[in-house]
This record gives sequence, structure tokens and C-alpha cells, in this order.
Amino acid sequence: MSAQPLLSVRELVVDHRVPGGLFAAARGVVRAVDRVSFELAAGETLGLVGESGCGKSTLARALVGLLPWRSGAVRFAGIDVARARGAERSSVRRGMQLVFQDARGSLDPRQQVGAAIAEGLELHRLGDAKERRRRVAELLEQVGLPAESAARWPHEFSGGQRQRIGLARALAVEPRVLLLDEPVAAQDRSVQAQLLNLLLELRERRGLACLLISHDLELVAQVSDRVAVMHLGELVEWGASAELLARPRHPFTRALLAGAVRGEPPSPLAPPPGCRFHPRCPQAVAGCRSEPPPEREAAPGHRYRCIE
Amino acid sequence: MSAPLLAVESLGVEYQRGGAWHAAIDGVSLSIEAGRAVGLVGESGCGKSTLAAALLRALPENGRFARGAVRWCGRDLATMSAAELLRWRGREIAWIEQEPSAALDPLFAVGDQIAEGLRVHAGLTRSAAHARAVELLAKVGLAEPELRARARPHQLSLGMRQRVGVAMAVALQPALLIADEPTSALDASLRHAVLDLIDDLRRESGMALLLISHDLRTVAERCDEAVVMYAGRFVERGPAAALLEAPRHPYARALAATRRAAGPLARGERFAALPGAPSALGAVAPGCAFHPRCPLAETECTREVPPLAPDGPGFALACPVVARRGGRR
Repeated sequence: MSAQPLLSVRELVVDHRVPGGLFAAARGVVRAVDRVSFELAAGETLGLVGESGCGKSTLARALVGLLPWRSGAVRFAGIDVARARGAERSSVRRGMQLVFQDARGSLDPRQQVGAAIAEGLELHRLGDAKERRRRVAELLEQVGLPAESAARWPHEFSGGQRQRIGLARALAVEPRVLLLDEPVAAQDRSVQAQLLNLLLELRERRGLACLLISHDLELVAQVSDRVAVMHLGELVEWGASAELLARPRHPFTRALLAGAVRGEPPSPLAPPPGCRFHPRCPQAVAGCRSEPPPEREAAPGHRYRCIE
Repeated sequence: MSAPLLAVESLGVEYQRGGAWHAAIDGVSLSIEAGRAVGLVGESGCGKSTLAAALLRALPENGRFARGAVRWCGRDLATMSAAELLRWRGREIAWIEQEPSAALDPLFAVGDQIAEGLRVHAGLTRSAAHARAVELLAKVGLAEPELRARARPHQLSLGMRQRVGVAMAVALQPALLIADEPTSALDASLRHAVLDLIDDLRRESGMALLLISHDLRTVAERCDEAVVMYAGRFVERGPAAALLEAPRHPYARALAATRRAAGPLARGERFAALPGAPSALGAVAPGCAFHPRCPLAETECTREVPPLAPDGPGFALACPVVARRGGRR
């Protein structure tokens, strides 16, 4: 691993304000991401796993600048993202691209596919009109769609094809990090395999680093170098994929792997004291209800937060 | 022997597009006995949801019945009046959709929405219906059901809304529940919870189930019989667990194989992927519709539609190429 990671996230905190109603004051603040730290090396894939609502999509949105963060530090290629201005800011924006979970919602229905893909090129002033057209055709072919698709509209494509368009759009500005939010969850199994193979292909060919966000731990562990498990805003376990898959330590990770998480996560408006997993944990002891769990090392690089 | 609960006989359904009628369901037959669970598996666009809509006689405006019949306890649905159909849909058969919000009115408290069906179809008084609605919400595992009954749909999480959808569907104790991808929008823990809930309700009430899914594994875990559908036709059927264990049709094999690698992939390794996409309406390949994507396709496959033929006890298969290679073990 190189001395300096491509992306470094330190103690990141992202809050959501929950409105109380038309005339009421804010009902409260949800800490969607709570002191999350991780690093991503160039060309590496980190899988981020957790249930719906655990904060993983919020984390991705904050990283690409769609949501403000409350505290913490993010460095991309050595640049302090919060302070970056001008050319530095632009290189950060260009260097990290998010592919949305819902390609239907993220494509403008009144914008032709080619224009949607070229948007990033225009924004970052890459090439002239003719070069952009050529580049769009090239990108479409890379994601397995015919070049003629550029003149068609989003509604003419299936869910899997729209996901490919979203991918082409993100790749257009030649990012170094791709953030993928549930890239296959909404697809059929057969389409999932095709999309995943495409991602693997692009990652290997372009040396892209990826943050792969999914609720499917098994899938994530198959295609990631390392995996981080998130529960109610906090990372509870992280380590190399093979190691974590073979020797999961946190009860939440174990339950995810066994497909045996029972019950719904507690409300993030009022997270339980102590370990936030304790109300659903089969191994909870008295201490779990009062003390935040300590961080422990299971193996080099494999760490978890549990009292046991 | 009494008639099955639901019998579909050589059903054909067509959709109109660009002035022409195209087959979306092409001659399928299916029967569901009381208390049984049947799973219908295939990719998006294979006709699964069209079949569900046809069973409910709720085809969209550009759809029509081309041939065949759907019978409920022996009676042809085509002979039912509109009022009879409404009553039948309310009391005998229930439907859960993929996105629970589709079935819920955003303006009304979910408890009132459950209670409405109980008042209209079961003749309960307002207070009895409300009490029963709260009871149902508790039964589907919502904590504080009194409070939740007063919530509007947007105040509940996706998992809770899907539970409300289940509570609403089973409120009148239907004889058959049609669940169309009820869990594909949910993550793993909620998926298990919702399917377990349906299982529990079936055990208690003897309700039959038609589970529609793109995942053969889910169907194998939850159903007695599995039916694999491609381009509006059944291509293989049989006891669900055994079919997942040893699928024979190349399409069923591909569905069972997708994403089953174990452990991290090596560099350069890929997932087993079925190439191409299912054929679009009006562009179904001649002969066996699967032949353009089939690794075993021969010339004969391009000529005739292979019939669904018996393939060992309880199984049927629509692939003469595989059938010729030997019987099911």
C-alpha cells in the first residue's frame, strides 16, 4: 500500500435535521453518519455494507459534496476537500463520481442520453463539441450500449440499461474514485451478474478505486478487497474481505452473513445507549446497554467494536 | 375430486402496441390447490406480472384475453359480473405489490385503510374494524400498533409499509394471496421478516400463495411448486426445492447459476452471466423464444415452439434438446 491513500476520511459526522411539521420547530437531529473513518488506496475496492437507513448513502452523498458534513476531515489525493477552492476543488469534484442507486430518478426524462453523459464534460470544459460526441459514443460502447443510444430518451431503456447510462455518465470525466450506491439492487439476478462483470472489467482496465455500497454483504465481499460494516451510522467491523468472510467477529456482521438479522433497526432519532445493536443482539450482556463498545483488533487490519 | 382453488387453462393474453396485438402470455396452464404455495420465476418482462393481473381480471386498458380461461373453484371468471368480481377480489383473493406505497393512500391513516376493507367486505362496525386493524398491525410485528394505526404511510419506514401492505392483504383472510415481488425493494433482514410473516399466516389460516419472484432461490425456500417462465411461456416446472437443486431447462439453469460464486473473486474472474436480455413484446424469437441466448440451441429450436412435456414425476420441461440427452435423475 502506498504511503498516502487516495481518499482518507477521518471521524466524519453528517447530521440530518428532521422537520417537525408545518409550523413546528425541528423535531430533532439524526446523526446519520457518526465518526466514520476509512481509507481507500488507488485501485482498491472497499465495500460498505449495512441495512436500509444505516447512513451509507448519506456518507456517499456527503463525500461528493451533495450534503454538508458537520465535522471530520476528508482528503482526496492530498487535498483537504472542505477547504479546496478553484482548480483544486474542481479536481476533487471530477475525481470522485457517484453512481446513483436509482438510475430512473437520476436521469432527466427530458434530456437525451448523449446530452446527459456529456454534461460532466461540458461542466469541466473537456474537449470541443465534436470531441465530446466521439467520447460519448466511446463511453456508451464501453458500458455495452450501442453508440446510437445517445439520441434516445431515458424512458426507452430498461432498468439495467439505465444503470449502464449512469455508469457512462460517471466515467465521462475520468474519475479516480467511483462511488457506487447499490449499483445492482434494483435489478434481476441475471442483469446483476452482467452489471457486476462490467464493473469488474472497468475497474481492472482503468485502475479505478471504488467505494461499493450495498446491503448485500455476500456480494460486496466477493468483489471488494476490504469490507466495512455499518450499523446505525457507525462502522462496527472492517477488514480484508476473505478474512472478514471467514472470521466475522461482530454479532451484526455474523447475522448479516447468515441472513438472520431479526427485527428492524432502532430509530436513528433516538439511538439506544451503549452498543446500538444491543436491542437486537443475541449475545448482548448487561454492559452493552450502558457502555459504548471498545474497538478491538481481530487480526492485522481486521477490527471490530464489541464488548465480547 | 373437487375443483382446484384457481385453474388457468391455456391462457393467452395480448397487449396492443402501435396498432398491433402482441402475445404477452402464450398458452399457459396452472392450477393452485387450497393451501399450496406456487412460485413463478423469471426475469423482468417475462410476463409474470401480466399473468398476475390476468388472474385478477385486472389487465391494463391495452390488454385483452386472447384465449383460454381462468376458473375460481370451477367457475369461469369471465362469467362473473363486475359487482361479483369486486366482491371476489375483496374477499377471496388478495394482492401484494412490489412497492407497498402503491396500495396505500398517502392521505389516510394506515389503520383506517385496513379498517375500510373490513367494514365494506366483512360488515364490521367502525369500532370493531378499528380494533381488528390494530390487532392485524400487531400480528405483522409492528411495535405500538395503536400508535402506528394512526400514522400516514410516509411516516412509516419501507419495511413497516410493506408489513402494513401484508396486514391489509390478509385482513379478510383470503383463500389465495398473490405476492408480486413483495420483497425485492427490501434488504436482506426485512426480506426474511416479510416472507416469514407470510409463512406464519399461511400456517395459521391455510391460505394458498402465488409468489412471483426473479429469484429461484427465494421460491425454492418458500414454495411447494416452482414454475419458470420465459417470454410468456412456461419452460420448466416441478417441486420447488428439487428444481433449484437440479434445473434442466437452459434458462432455469442460468437463473439458478447467476451469482453463485463462493468467496472473493480472483483478479480477472467473473460472475456467471446470462448474455442478452429477454425478448421485447412483439419481438419474440420464432421457435423456442430462448434460443438466441441459449448455449445449447440447435437448428430445430428456431423452428417450433417446444411443448411443455412431462419430465419425470411432478416435473415438466419445454426443451427437447435436454430431454433427448436423458431423463431427470
